[in-house]
Amino acid sequence: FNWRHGSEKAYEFSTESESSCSGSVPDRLALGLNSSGPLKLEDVKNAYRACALKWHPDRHQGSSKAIAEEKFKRCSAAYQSLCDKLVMD
Amino acid sequence: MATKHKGRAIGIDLGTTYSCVAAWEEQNGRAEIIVNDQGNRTTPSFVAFTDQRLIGDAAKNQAASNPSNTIFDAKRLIGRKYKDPAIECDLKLWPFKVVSGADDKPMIKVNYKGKEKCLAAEEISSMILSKMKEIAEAYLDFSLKNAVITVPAYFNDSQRKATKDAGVIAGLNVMRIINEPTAAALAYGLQKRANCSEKRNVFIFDLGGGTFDVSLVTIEDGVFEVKATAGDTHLGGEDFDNRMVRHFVQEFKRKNRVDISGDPRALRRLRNGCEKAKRILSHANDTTIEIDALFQGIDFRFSITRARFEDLNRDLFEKCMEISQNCLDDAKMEKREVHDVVLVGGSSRIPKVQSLLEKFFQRYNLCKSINPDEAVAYGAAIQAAMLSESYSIVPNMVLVDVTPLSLGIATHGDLMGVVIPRNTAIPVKMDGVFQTIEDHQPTASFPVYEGERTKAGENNLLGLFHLSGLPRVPRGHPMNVIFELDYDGILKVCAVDETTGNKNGITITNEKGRLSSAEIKRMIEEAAFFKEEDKKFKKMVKAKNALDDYIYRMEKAMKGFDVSSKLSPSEKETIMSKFRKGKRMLESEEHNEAAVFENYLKRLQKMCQPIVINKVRDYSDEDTD
Repeated sequence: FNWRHGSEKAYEFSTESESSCSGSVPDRLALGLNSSGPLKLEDVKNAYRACALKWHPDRHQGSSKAIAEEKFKRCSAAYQSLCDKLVMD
Repeated sequence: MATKHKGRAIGIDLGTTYSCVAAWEEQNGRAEIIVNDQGNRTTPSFVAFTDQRLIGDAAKNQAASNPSNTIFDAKRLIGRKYKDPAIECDLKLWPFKVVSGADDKPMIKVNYKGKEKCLAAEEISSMILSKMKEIAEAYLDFSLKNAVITVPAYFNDSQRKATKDAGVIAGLNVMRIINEPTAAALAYGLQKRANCSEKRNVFIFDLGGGTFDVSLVTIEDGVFEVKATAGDTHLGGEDFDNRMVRHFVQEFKRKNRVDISGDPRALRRLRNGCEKAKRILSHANDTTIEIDALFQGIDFRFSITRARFEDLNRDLFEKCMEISQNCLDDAKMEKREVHDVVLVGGSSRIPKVQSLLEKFFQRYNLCKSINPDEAVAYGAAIQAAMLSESYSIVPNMVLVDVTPLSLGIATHGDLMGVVIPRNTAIPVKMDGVFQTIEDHQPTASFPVYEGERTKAGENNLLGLFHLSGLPRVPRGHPMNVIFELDYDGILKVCAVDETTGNKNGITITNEKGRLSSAEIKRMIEEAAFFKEEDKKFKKMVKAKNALDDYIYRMEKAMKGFDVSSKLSPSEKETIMSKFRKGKRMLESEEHNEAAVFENYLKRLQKMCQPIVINKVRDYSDEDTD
């Protein structure tokens, strides 16, 4: 390695996370909501709770646990981005 | 860990000052707090070393006579550095000695059986955990391995991992480390909202012996969603005691012109008095602390009013309210939206804390109906049952917790580039794009930090890794950094150069300051050694008692005329001298092997055999008369 260049913190931080505006439809689908049409905050919350009960890794065992964990992570991300969006509107 | 855990499981609230253990009772549909061998529902988090090792009540009871070898507050040390400013003040107050070990790890010096020993905070905590395990095993009547252990919500990564290590040293399979206020929310949900279906925003206010936590939890349809959490890992009942001790040391000095601050025994006795007074002041308006001959034969007698106590701790109480406000802000919730304010932790009984909280929420119905000392262990037991496959009837609930501290990478200029912001639901996977800042930069290093400070260096460094083989391009080359945090709080970080597909990352498990697996192994062996020594000690006491009992009975029997008639005076004298020798042996401290006493007992029994048959009968006849 060229440590002279590879000094610590040798980069800049640009965006915080993936832009959420692209993923509205996939986000809706991840939570099992309709892909279009009006959306209420309450619906999103209900959908998320249903997902949590279904996919939280604590509620799974064996081979399905890893799959559940991935699903749950996806649901959480979708929930977060949809909520942020609805609050902003 | 692909499968659920086999075997029954317990929940342990490992507190700074007191610990508590609970188990799920399927047939009753609730958790049961398990009483210890003294009949108490909480056990002091104390370990003492003398010619034996004492844990719990026994250790706390002898604290005043053995201050330098009675260890408490280990939770304040766990996962911290010796130089941590948070413990600087404690170091001066503790009567036991703490030194800096390898990697600036604080080590506690104790004297055990005349030999000096250095113990890590993890080891002290592991002793308390193994005591809690024993308490549960005695009650449940089978051996246990699985446990859920609680930690303050605001504990950082190293403190959590150190707690987990303590569990491993104690011989436990730590299924999960959960947050104390979250555990309390589970207890509240089960006890107060049987179906948990109606939506409730619950504010958990957990002011314990050493730490303070607040969490906002939304309960609906059996889903416990933690919205935000905040706290101070060094604020609790102990600090209130400290303030009182300091106050009285000064008062005592003013009145008697003597300074007791250098006398650990006097300080311990004063501290015990203050703890008691503090509790009394929660229901009385004033109280008097009386300690006979506290220092140089001078009696201590001072009274304190509730107002004075509140005044001494005013800033600490106000800090609690500030933190509560921060938590609400993080949750983006108004005070009026909170349905219930639940009080947890012994110090939440302080009237001033309650009145400030009432004022803060502009309401007068704080929820005091769950036991503040037991709620956390209760909740931990519920979570333990949910994670174990041995229970068929468990509450249909799910807990979605959050990460208390932001996670990110130090960027140019030592700025903290947050990837996972605090209060994000876990498990979680998030990514951020970072760019190189130099032309043709071949390597980038990624120091991973945890904390809220803008300056990364002031946060807690979790680990460091590099990504090399970057293409020769001008600055601004993007790299994608992915953070994955699982429900056990294990963080995986990986960086990908999308253009070349180069990839590197770390799983943060074993950072500096944490125990290595070799050290853990050594500590497990050490724990086994301590256990063996405890057993030996017990065996010796038993052998001593047996010998003592035998000599007492035989001496009594010898006085009977019946025996005298069967023995010549010289024979009798020989036997009596053997008894005297036995008594001397029991009194002296020389022997500490059970075998010495057992052998002597055998010799005596053999010697007395010819006359014993008659005698025992006579003796028992006498007894029944």
